[in-house]
Amino acid sequence: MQQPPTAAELLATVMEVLSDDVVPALSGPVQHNARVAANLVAIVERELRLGGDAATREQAAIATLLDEVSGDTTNRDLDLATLREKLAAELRRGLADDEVTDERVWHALMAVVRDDLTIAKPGHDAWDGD
Amino acid sequence: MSDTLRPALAAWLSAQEGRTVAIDGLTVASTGARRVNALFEARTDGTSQRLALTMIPTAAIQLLDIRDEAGVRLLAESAGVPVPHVHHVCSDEAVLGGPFFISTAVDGETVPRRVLRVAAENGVGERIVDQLGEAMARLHSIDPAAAPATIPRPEGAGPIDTGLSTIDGQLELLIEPSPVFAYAARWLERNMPPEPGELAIVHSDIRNGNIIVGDDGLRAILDWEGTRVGDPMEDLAWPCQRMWRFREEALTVGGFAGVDVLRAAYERAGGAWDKPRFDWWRVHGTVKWGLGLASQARAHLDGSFRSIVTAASGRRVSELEYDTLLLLRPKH
Repeated sequence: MQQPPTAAELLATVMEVLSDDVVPALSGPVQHNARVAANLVAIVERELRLGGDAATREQAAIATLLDEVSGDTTNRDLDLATLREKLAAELRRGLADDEVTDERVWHALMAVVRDDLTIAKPGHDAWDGD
Repeated sequence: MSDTLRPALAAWLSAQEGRTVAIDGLTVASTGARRVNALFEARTDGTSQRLALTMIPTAAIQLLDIRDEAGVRLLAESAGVPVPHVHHVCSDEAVLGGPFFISTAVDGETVPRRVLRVAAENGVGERIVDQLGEAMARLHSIDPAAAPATIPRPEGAGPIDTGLSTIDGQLELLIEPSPVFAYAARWLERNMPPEPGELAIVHSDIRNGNIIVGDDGLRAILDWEGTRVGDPMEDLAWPCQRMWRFREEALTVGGFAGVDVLRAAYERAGGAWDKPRFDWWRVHGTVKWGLGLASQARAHLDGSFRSIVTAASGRRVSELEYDTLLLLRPKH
């Protein structure tokens, strides 16, 4: 096992160096790329810390949703990638056509997307629509 | 790059104009995946003109033949749309390394956050939206039969039908499926409005980022390579997407002003507004852009366009999923 810092702590440090030292020293397209790099490092740092729990929540939410809507009870055993594929295909075919299911599905999808945004773009969900 | 570009461009321009044209101050303004833009000074017999070079790195990635894009620009210009005047077009890749055209250089700002600053400092945000609405009405007043034959036209029952097929086609290409976009595609299918009674030439990417703005307002609409025949309401819905507001969330049209300003200007200039189709295209545009970001990430991974920016696009998809969900259930 590695001694500290952890992977996430190292990435946080890389991010600091990129934003505080590297980006200000550059200009033009290279500076833009360095800024994007700093942002990506920050995303990966959050993903390392938060991604595992988010995936567990998403797996449980989709399995529960599919169980309830389809009357099936085998979804719990499926992995997240399979569940997402199944849900996407069912939704495209009209799984949420009735209003009650639609509302249920919308809230479940929103919870998943908010978790994704906590990693990819914190604050994006502060906006509440036009 | 300008070392080899300059003599080649000067020689070609001189041959075109039948007189010696010297080129000064050639600067590459931006280098994207699809376009290289450069500005320069063309001197002839003591007179000087500021011109812009737009080059496509290789003809293989042209969405539209460069001659047809130039043709569309001239058509729009003749209808009163602000477009930098095209002086020359060249489809021969041997001249500069890719197809290109040369147009009048228009002064002003194009970088979205700086555009918003210029608009705010000069109090011209509403004026810009007013000018955009008028420009769109003029563009849409052109008989689509006048457009070059190669401009894409709707397939199936019409542009709405084509728009839905495009989304389904993009969904198929996703590396990881998106339940949100699949859900939205179902919504688009169940909420299809009637096809428009009349088709128009649509630019398809009029928004903050593809316009030149100065202290007096809108000066030019750029980037006509996505022009096609379609539903005029698609053009009106596009600049209203949240992603083109650049953090000015309260001002729906590009962070400049509200939709009421756009609609009033469009109608005053003779355009016919259709709310159901406008709403449908807003959802469509948000989903399309989310799927477009996923396709940029694919282009990075398959090596067709490797860049840290296209790689980062993959982590932006959830932003568009969020915006889509809010459009589908605004009062949740």
